[in-house]
Amino acid sequence: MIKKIRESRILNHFIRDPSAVIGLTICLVLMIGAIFAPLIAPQNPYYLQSLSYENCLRPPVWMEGGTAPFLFGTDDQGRGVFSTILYGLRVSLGVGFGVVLIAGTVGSLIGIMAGYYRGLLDVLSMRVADTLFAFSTTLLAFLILGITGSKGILVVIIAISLADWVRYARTTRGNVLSVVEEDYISAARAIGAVDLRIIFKHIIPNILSSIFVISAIDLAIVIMLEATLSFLGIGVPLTEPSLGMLIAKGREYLYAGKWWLILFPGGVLAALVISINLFADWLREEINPKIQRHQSVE
Amino acid sequence: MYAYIIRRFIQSIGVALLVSFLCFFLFQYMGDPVLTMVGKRATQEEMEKVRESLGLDKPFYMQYLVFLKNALHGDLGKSYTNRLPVFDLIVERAPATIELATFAMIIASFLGISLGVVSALKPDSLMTRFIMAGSLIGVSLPTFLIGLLLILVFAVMLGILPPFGRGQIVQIGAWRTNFLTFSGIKHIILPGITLGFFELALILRLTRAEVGEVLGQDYIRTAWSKGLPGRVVIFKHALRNSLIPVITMIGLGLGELIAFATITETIFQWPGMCRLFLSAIYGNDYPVIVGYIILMAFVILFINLAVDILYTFLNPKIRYD
Repeated sequence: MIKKIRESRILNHFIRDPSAVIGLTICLVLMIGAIFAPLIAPQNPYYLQSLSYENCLRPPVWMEGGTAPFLFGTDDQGRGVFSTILYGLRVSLGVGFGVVLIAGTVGSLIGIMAGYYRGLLDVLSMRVADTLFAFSTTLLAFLILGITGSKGILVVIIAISLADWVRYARTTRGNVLSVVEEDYISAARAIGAVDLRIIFKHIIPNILSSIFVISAIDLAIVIMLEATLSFLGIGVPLTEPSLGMLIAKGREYLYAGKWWLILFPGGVLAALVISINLFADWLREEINPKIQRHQSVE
Repeated sequence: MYAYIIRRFIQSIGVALLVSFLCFFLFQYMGDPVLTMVGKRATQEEMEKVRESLGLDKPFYMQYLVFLKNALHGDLGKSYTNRLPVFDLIVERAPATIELATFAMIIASFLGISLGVVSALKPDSLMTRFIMAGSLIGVSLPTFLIGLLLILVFAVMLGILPPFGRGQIVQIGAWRTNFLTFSGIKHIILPGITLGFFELALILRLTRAEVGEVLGQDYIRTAWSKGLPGRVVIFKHALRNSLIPVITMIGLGLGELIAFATITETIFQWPGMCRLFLSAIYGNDYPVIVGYIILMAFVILFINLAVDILYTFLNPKIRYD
């Protein structure tokens, strides 16, 4: 009952905030587009037999020289940009959610352990976290992928996660430190609850909402980072291009004035990140205004 | 206090050593540089000769110790691709990067702090809405996209600003500067804005949040009720206290700045040290990669240390004992 009232309160706040509604709507539209890409896209851009050199480098459909199925024009292989964007979104979102899941789980667990047990584990993990933090997620991901080279989507997800868990560990640890001081934790201890029970029954439910907030902010950051890495050629492989990779390929035709190869994938990438950020900002204000964006961006 | 500084100093050196060891260790397993250098048609003997001349025939720990000893003398080895000393390669390109980064950070700090104050003073005005929408775009557009869009608009479509290179530079001693010729200044505008845009948005958002918080406090109300003029209240009382976290963020954001400089230099073909790093990655030029990482690690670690120490002076409430 109480939970229902709470939910409706959040829902009410949400409906009254136009930027949050717009953000979530765009997000969902893009996600649905990505999930159902094979159904929506007029062609499968990576099925070679569907491509034809006659159609290469055509401008968008409303300009002179544009033809019917290629809404946003075509690239140098005759792939429709609209279709490559839908397929690229799958990779971008896949990496984004993959990293948030891995780095979020691992980072939060490390943060919880460090904050709950303190001691050597805390000192060591936070020393490592501080050091990694000083290098910044972006630079670390550069270094890791610079060493391993571009070896597939999974390697990209793991490399970014290795650099990214710090964000979760630091904030979670801070949250745990303040939750542990609460009376209900002492009460749980007094009635003889074991550590594992206290952590899962009392600590995690109380810090989960702020982990959600960081995850939302982090999703936007990771998608940008993946796009950057792929743009530089140390991210996803050529065979499974993400939005960043599409932009990198479009860059070759930048000076030739083939602007649609950059502007459309770039616009979709920007729309995706902006809409996630709009929603994340609302979520942060709603759940925990104390979390500052810069803490997680640095 | 001094004990704290010394402890942090030793810690930083330890971390730098660890970084150097990790890099060196990892690169043992990353392909054979000899093969890349001599090509596929070389005979076994030729390859052995090259291996020996590079010291790659010695055991791993010897290679590392020799590397460490040389590094302390400023010798980070020679590039595999052009056989020039790594240290010289990096130092020679440092001025271009430092000028670009300084230019970007000056724009970002000046605009970020002033726009942040404006939007904190008038949180509901139309101006603030515009500023905040702009800053949202600033933190949401990846650096490479900003750079490409700027090139597309100002170089390809309008043709008023050059899209690559440093233009005409003036040599002063060992330093080559962009700021003394018209062409040099024109060339730094687009990459400078690209690099500064994200930092600008971050600084703006943080300044706005901090100033907004400070403005609600009692001592500000006291200052207003004493009848102090607005600029004194804002600049002397409010801004001063809000700037501490902003300065810390700028100092601790150095790693991010270096990463973004790498992207900017790649897009604008800026001949700085960050681009050197990326081309070293493409070319498997390990000495350059390792040397660069170690130098950067040193710079980042010790700037962080300096920021921490500065922080204690700026904010006397904090003690590290």
